[in-house]
Amino acid sequence: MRSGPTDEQRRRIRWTTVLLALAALGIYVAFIASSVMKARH
Amino acid sequence: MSTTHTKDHAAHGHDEHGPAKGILRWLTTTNHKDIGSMYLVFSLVMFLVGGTMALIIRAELFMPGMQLVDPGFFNTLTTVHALVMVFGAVMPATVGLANWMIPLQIGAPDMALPRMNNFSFWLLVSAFTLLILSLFVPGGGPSAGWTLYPPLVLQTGDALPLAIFAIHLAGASSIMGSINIIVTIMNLRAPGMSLLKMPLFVWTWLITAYLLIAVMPVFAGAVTMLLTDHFFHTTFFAASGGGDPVLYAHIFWFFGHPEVYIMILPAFGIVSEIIPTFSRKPLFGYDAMVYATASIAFLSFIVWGHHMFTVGLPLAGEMFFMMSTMLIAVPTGVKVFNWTATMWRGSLSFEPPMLFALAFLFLFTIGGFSGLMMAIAPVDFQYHNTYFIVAHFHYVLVPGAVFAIMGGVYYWLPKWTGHMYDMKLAKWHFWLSTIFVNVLFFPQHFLGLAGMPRRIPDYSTQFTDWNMVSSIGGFAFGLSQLLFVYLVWKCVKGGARASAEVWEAHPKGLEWTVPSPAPYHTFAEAPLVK
Repeated sequence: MRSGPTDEQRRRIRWTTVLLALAALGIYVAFIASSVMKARH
Repeated sequence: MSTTHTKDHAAHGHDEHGPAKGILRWLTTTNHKDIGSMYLVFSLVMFLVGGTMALIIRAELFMPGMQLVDPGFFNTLTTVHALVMVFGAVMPATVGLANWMIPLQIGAPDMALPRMNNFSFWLLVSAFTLLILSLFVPGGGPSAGWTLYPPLVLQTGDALPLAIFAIHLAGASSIMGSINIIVTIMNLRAPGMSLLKMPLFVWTWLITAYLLIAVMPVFAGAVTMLLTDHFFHTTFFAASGGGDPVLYAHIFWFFGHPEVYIMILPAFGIVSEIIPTFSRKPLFGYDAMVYATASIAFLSFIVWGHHMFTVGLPLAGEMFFMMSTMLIAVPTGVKVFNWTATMWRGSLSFEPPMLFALAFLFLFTIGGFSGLMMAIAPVDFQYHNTYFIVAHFHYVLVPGAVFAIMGGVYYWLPKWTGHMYDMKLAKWHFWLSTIFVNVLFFPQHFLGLAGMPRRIPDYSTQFTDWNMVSSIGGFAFGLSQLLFVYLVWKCVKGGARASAEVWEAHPKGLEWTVPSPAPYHTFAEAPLVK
């Protein structure tokens, strides 16, 4: 059988994925939000 | 770097886990090699689509006057050619190479998120299906240039939402691919492979993936605001409602300049793999190469204003962007000198991958130098919006990124297929491409310096001669690429057996320890890296 990642690796993979996805989403929202702020001025 | 293996990969007996049969294999595969191949084939198709558009553009520009297409469609061609080449050809080609090679180079059994890998690929196919379909909707395709500057882009017809949705999908695909690459490199390296033992290709992709995650959402944000301006009457970029069209240019180029490095950093990585092999020497200044790559990535965030000198930036802003842009020449110079030092007193041989890497070194540097010229703010006022810019970025992207990708394909193709390709034909492909890429793009410097504007289908008669030369170069370069397609197809079908090492130069790295072709599953047990 092919040996997959260990439990520890799986946990780290999950967390890194969530963190990076949140970072991408955060940047997207932040840029739109900052443009909304600029447009209101 | 030396390696030991607890078991022989070839004798591991995974045949029972081979690929599914038929079309289902390609639709549902989670294998990094399958997905890498699909990305590479997709990018080749996109190169041919974008290349055909380029040939129509060059045919129209062969002579002054309107010959073949109407001006609106000409603008659509320049726009879609750029979008296809950037997001559909160059980026997916480097992602394909990453999918194939990163797990093999770090000793991982596959990418960390294989199902997301499959999803990323098919999302990209959907994105480009939409973009190409946008050419056929009422009002014609997007035609405001790849920058999609408002207010011009807001005059696009039904193609606007299609093109923007396509960009969103392609962006989501890129972000998912980047997350996968980072997660794989950070978590699945073979025991003993510390960060500073990773191959340069892996390093450049790691840094590129961070760049992508940082800037793709910015572009997505900008085009989302274009959509709301168009359909929901917001005025982010409309001066009539208190918005600012220059804000879009700032946001776009905050994405756009790092995007250039997203295309070129993996190319640096490929060249850093090829030159040591065919110089039979380790890479000179490995650590410096890593730090130079990271410096280039960092600097790419603070130079965007050099694309906008003519919009009326404050003088201090122009000075800042001028200086920061020139600063990029330092880490880039480190790289060029280190590649040269790697070859110095090496035992060089000139197989096709090395030829492409050498051409990259010379011709990318020409693109770099013309970039430095444009970094000088007062001088850029003269070059701005001329064919000099077109010549500059095509030197960076064609004999730069595309030549490195071709070099990478020629370097690893025997590892993928298990067959050696026709060396003589590959050298013909190299020489024809190298000669005609210069015939195509070098005269565009002269046209730009003489004042010929870009993105126009017609021009004054004094520009005729160099346009004819450029168009002849374009058709010859384009036709030469058919040799590449034939050669790859022939190599996939058969040829002399390739050994595990493939090259007599004894290349270093884990990918050369597995048989050729690389088995469907590799590194089921992680190798130990000493």
